[in-house]
Amino acid sequence: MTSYDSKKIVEIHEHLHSDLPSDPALRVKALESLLVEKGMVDSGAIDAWIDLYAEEIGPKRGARVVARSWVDPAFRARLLADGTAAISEFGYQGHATGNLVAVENSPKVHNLVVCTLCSCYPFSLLGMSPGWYKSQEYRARAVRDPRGVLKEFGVALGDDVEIRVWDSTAELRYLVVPERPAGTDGMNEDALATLVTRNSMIGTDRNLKAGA
Amino acid sequence: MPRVHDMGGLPNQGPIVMDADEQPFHATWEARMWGINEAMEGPDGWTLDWWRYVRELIQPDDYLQRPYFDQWMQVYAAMLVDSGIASVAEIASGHATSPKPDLRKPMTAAEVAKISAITRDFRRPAAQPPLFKAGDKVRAKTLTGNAHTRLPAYLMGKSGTIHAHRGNHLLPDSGARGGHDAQHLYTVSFAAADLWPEGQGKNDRIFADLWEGYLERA
Repeated sequence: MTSYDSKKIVEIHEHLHSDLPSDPALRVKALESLLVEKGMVDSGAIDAWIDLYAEEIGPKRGARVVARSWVDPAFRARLLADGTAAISEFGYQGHATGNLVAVENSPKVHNLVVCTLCSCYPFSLLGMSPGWYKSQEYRARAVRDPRGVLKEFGVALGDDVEIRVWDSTAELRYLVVPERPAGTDGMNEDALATLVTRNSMIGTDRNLKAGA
Repeated sequence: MPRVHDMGGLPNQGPIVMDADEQPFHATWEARMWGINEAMEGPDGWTLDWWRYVRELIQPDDYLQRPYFDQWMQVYAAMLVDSGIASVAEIASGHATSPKPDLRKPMTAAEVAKISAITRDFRRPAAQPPLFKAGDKVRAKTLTGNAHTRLPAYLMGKSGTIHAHRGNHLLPDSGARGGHDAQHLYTVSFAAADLWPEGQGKNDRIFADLWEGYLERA
């Protein structure tokens, strides 16, 4: 039975700290083999998840959604009204995207997403999160010094641009919809999708380029 | 007691470190650990917020210094011990010396694609109408102690404006105790100028998703 007892967990963490090997590779290998022996996990399913996220589920999904929002105003309205329903039109709903909210950039607004308490991220739409997104520096600074953070990512914003930082404290997940770059009038949805960067959908990139 | 995971606004932080290659996993063990997390269901009592709470309770030095996915390993190890499924010695050796738990059969590779497209809506039917509406002025309460909550310390005692009502959502503070209580959830907008010296003179805003019990009328 699960105890839900924080004191007990603190004691267990002390034991684990002193009794487990220090090397994470050894720790995880032992955990997986134990879980297989306990009948709690199937190694083939672990392989399948890794393959799925390596090949199919990644930021290309989010980029397709953004590109469609640039060419199809009715879709854009649906995306802004109910993100989960809109990405389900592509079959992109899944892990952590059951309550998706899309927020749009404009010449006077820039959106930035963070999770200060852990590492919440719209996995089924953007794939694995980058290392920096989970770092102490990003989690601490994004809400306090977003302009300084953005500068480090090469995005310089004037004071006339309002920054909206979205701290993912609940099960809502945020997708930033970047602006369509200039000079892309003749491009179709597939070509436009190649211009959309992962960071632009988190908000650490802004001015997308017509020629990627 | 400061809560190590509650990092929003911590001062004196260095630059953001970006990997040159930006690969999601830097080593095979990281991918395996992530895959275990996806492929294992565990007992029903292992709620999402129990998982988060167990991570928050990792010793602060380990939380800050051990690699991200290694912390996931330690969360599962602690939950296995807590639930009486495995001993620390079994986890250290990687071999079971006690019986298998009575759980559902594990997910198979053939089921992964289908399961990956299942999404979870955290809204629940509401017994009461929401207390607040968009435009209302509210203040975030100050919650002390180290019980699991999703109200970040940097917002406690600060005033903001209801931006949107998001429905009646499962409450993490309850989930971390094995409960299934739900409350109305709001996205609340805070002026950066009201939160930080760095925000002075800017129109920047911070939005956080906060449950009704975290808020009072301002």
